Amino acid sequence: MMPDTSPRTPSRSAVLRAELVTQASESAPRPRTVATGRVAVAAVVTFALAGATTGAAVAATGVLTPPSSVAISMDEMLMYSFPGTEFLGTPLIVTGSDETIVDLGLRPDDATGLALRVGCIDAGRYDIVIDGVADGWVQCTESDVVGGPSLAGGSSQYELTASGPQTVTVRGTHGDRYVVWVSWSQPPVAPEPSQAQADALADGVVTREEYLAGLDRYVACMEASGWQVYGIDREADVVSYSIEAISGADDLRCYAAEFSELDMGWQVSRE
Amino acid sequence: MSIPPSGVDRDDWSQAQRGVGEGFGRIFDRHRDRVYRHVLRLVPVPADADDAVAIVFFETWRRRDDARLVDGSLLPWLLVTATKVTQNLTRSARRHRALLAKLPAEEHARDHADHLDDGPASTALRELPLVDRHVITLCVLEGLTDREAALVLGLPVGTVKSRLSRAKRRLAARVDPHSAPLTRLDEAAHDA
Repeated sequence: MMPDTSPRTPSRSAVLRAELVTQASESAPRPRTVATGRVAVAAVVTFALAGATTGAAVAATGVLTPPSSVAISMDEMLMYSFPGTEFLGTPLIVTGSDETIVDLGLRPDDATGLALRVGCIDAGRYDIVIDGVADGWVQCTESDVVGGPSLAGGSSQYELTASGPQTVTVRGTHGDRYVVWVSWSQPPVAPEPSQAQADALADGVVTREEYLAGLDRYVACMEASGWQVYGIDREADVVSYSIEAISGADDLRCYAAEFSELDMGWQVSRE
Repeated sequence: MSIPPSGVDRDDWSQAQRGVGEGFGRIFDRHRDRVYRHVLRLVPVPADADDAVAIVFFETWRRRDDARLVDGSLLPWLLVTATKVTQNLTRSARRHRALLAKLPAEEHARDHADHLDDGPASTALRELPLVDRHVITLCVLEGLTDREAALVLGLPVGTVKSRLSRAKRRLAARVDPHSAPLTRLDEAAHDA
């Protein structure tokens, strides 16, 4: 018999609801205050991401706090952070402190994602908020930024929905500075498994031979694309190997086509 | 997938975080029954379910900075919170005892024994480790995809897949010790 899922007694439910509404109402963020003696720079600055033009990978830079040089290479962004992604329109790069709101505005028709990277100019924690909802943070120590601004923080690519994202907000504290890079994007679509991988998966069991054959096809695919796969330990139960960081897009393609399902199936069977 | 349409909670959750309490009230209205059905599976005594629901929403607000929306829905996060809360209901209730004391008892206590299907599957689910209960709840009972479950649990998709496979085997072994082990094709059927 199915559980009785009729609503709770109204009086209890109503009291609980009222309590939740009260809690949320009383937890409203307090107004921003500036400590005595601190320079009151603009606490909130809004920038707009242009989405109408396509193909121009030229950075528009808005500078809130000027005395720092931030160099961003589109090629490196593509290789390390978003391999296989196509950037659309003009990426927005803005340095800021305290709170910066990026109004994403109209998206290009062919955009399917939003690529975001937040880096540190000063050591500190920088919270990322998407459409008003906390979505993680980037944190840098002094050692991360001793050589200059660091883009070593995390990168994210968001799928677009009918209603969002509409804004990206970054919040720092104590005037610590950060850099925001954001662009409309088309994330890569992983290829379907190759026929060889599909055949190996057909019986629902991944044998050691099938696992290693998939690994060999993956390595061959990488080498055919001009990359080396290092330190392959074929004797290990779960084979380890290393690839070059800049091989990202080819790694995604070769792994999905030749090895990903076999790799996962084998590892699951060893647990 | 059985979570509500994309973005359904996003505006309300955003408003609540800005101090518009009614936003959290609307989220409560939208999901309380779903949360109630979920905790019924997990509490050892059905009479605890109402307190568990209240604690889930209190905890969700207390830890609101950690909450994750999946395609704009807070429901997966509420279910994960419910699974954690029911792991140790006594400890969870201790933190919120003052708030629970404000809530009136049900006017007409139901005889849950007449309504709840507390069969071997429910018993087996309660006996699983917490990590297994999370993925079974989200992927099997609530129909989330592996990607959605990964988002709300903060795990790589591959980890969710492997945990789900292991959890299914453990659950099947508890329900029917003679059942055949699951294959990759069974999992692929889920992913489809």
